[in-house]
Amino acid sequence: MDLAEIVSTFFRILPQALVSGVALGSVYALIAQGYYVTFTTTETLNFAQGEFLMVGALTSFSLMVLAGVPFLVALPAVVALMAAMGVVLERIAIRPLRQLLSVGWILSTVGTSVILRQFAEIYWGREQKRVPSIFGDVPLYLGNVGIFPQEVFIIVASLLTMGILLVFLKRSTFGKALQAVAFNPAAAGLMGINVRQMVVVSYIISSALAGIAGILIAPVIFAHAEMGALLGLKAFAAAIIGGIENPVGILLMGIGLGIAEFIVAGYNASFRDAATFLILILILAWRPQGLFERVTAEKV
Amino acid sequence: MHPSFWSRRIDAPIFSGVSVGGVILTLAATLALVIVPILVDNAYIMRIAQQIAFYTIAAIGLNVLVGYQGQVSLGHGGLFAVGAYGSALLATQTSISVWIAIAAGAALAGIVGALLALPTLRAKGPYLAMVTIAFSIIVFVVAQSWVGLTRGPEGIKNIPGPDLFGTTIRQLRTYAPFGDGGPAISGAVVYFWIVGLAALAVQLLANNLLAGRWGRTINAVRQSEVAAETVGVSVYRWKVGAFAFSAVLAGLSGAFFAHQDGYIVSDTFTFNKSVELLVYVILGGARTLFGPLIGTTVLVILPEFLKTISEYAFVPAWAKPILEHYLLFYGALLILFLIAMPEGMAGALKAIPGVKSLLPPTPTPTPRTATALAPAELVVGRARPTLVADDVKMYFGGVKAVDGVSLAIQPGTIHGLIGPNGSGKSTMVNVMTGVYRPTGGRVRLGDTVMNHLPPHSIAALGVTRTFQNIQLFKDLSVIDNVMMGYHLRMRYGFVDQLLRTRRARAEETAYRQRAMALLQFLDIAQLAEAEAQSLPYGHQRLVEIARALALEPAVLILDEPAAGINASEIDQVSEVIRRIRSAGVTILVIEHHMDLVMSVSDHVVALDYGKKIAEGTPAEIQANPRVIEAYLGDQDSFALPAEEPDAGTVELAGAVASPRPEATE
Repeated sequence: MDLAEIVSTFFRILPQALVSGVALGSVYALIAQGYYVTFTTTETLNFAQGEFLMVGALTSFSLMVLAGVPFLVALPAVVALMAAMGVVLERIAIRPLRQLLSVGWILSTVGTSVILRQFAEIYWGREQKRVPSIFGDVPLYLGNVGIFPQEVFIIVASLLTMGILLVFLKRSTFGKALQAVAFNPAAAGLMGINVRQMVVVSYIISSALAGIAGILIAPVIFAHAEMGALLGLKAFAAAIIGGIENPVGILLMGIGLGIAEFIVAGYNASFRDAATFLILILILAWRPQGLFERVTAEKV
Repeated sequence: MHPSFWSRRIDAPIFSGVSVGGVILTLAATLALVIVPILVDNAYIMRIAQQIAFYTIAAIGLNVLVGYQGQVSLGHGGLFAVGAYGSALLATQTSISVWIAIAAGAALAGIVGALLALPTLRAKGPYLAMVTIAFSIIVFVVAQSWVGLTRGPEGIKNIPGPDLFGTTIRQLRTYAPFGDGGPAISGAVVYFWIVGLAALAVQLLANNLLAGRWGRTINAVRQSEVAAETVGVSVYRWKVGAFAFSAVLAGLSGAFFAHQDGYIVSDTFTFNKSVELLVYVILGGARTLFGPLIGTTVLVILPEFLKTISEYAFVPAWAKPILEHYLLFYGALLILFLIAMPEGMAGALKAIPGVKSLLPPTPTPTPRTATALAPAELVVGRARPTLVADDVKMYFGGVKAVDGVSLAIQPGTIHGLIGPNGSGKSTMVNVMTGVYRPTGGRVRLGDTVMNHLPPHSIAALGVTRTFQNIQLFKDLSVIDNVMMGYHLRMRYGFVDQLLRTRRARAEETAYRQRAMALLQFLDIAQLAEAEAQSLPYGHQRLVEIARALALEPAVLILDEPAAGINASEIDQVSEVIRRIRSAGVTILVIEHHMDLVMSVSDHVVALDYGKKIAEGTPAEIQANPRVIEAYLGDQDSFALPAEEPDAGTVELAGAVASPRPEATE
């Protein structure tokens, strides 16, 4: 490929990459907000977030396809299941292990991800499940750029969810209590905030976001046991690059990453995933704190 | 057997200081590795034994990283794959010896590991974990998609085995190594000999490394990076080194895997491989010498065991698929062990009475007694230039923590630096020791400008420090903390440590003796074997001072040596400071505690709001109206204490100018 060809290919794939990238990227952002919520409150996060998403997606398959439950019933059911999983995760894999080797919680949540993948293979099998979109699968066209109605729904629903989350975190007493815990757990405790409960709540929120992301994305990519790992990891890449304590940065980088991925895929589909992580490694090499995070001096 | 015979040390040229028991156990293990397979000679069992052997090699390497050095890597499956593909491709595409291909595969993994570590090791904790996961996935994607090179899921076939007895070793062939009349031995047994002896060698060499200077240093880096820097350890270099070392072992393991069956496919090298290696280490016992071996043995057998069970009739149909998914058990065991048994199986074994005495004794025991160093011996042959700060500025965003301060610390004097909380004292220390890079101005030692030097280079020039919030290597013994202070002086190198040559042992013994003499100088020799974190605060301060003195510094900076200790301990500390001064060491004391500063200092500088407000003899400072005002405030602006209630003294005024402290641990 010479330069002219690279440039012309770029402009040929750009419009479609923008549309598909925003849809996928808003899912990354949604998952990554889950990292943000628990990381600010506890400096821990769920390495099994992608597997939570996968369980959410496959549960929506069981409910909607196998049991014929309508979407508006399946959604709260999945969210409730995720919330319960979040509570259990916090209790077993996070709380007892926050101090151990300083990385115990990383290992235990990675262990959780392995368990969930294996469980999904046993319970749902290895094959990919198709979850039909409630909006049908006839793409809409704008010129020669196609978009599925489900993708429009993904964008709208993700942005709406994130909007509600941020307003909740910034405005409600409850959200302020969470922020207080994030800023200084000891002081928050002295002010009468139940820190432990706040940590549990942050894990509930984080897991619920993964569940919503799962039910949104299932109709676009097939649901199967291995679907979550890459999504969770790319969302984490977005969170790191955007600054893990910066929800707006996360949103922007999530979408940016989605678009970048489709552009790379336009050149060579098989290196789409590798390219994302190469970008991640390079950005971390350049700015170990992420792009938008302020560098804070370590106090000794 | 008589215990003293068992633990008697032998002065061998390599493995110097090994105990009689160690030799006996090693010989027994070697013999068992050679003879037992001949007796068993079952292809299925030998294959499992081979797996245990080569996965143990990877697990030992990963334990160095995760257990001792404290970094998580979920990318070692990727490095394993690099070793496997590297060796397989060299053996199939070129005509070089398979032995060289295996070594090259390991080396390649080491290079890739270093290249991965160089840019990413500045990231920590979850970031590093994610980057290594990403690396695993990149390797898998490349293995899967770059079919031209790796043949993807179809796999590389007919990878030759290594040559031995003048012929190529294959699993299912039989050999007559002792001539046609001798016993016939299957290829499976021979390949096990190769990987089993390799694993044994790796275990022994790793034990050497971990027992010596290398192990002490990576342990220290894990426990306090900033303190490791101040004794002259380039933390970044050591972390990259530990990562590369463990990568070499992952690669070696992968290479042995590739030549086991002569066939590799990309599907083997998923992210799960990285998790498996980590599970071997954690379940076996991170930060134990034999944990990786134990963990790998149990966990390689476990899937086979589950498979066997699932074939029994009494197992209900629904349970069979569960038993086939062994990773489910790995995941569950990982969480269970992390919660209930974080020391792993090796930790549990160690708790059994008698087991500990079987473990190899340390080759260089701590001497029981020592004569205290004479003051004249404390610092030998070090030039004593003046430490100078010229118009130093340190801004954090808009906060001017230090704003144009100049100091000159004359050789052989005790210099006091005082000021209310937030006056910039600690920032000043951090700038002068390289922890912070100044926004403006110059710090120099004699004529050497130190502005852009990292702390370890400043330590090498002879400026070291203690910390306000004590930074000891908590899990190390007191004497090992002091031994870290000799880091820059020790000359024996990596190969000496790996083989534990006479030279390595002699040097270790000599410095241990000297460390003991130094502890005696500070009257804490009786604490030499105690774990640093078990000591009361005052003693911890003295250990920190001992560690700093081990560098034989030109300038010793004591950052609030009296913070948080009681009155009698304060007397002890000031007595120690005078004793050090009598040895000619230049000292800068940063302190709130007026009695202490005024009684030991020759010269005092007072700071307030980042500026120097007074300078002079202790008597002059005590009489200086600006100093009195800074400490007591004028009558109109009497402020309450602002921060740091733990400092043990009452502060009356002071703006908070320090950067946002790290969140509570």
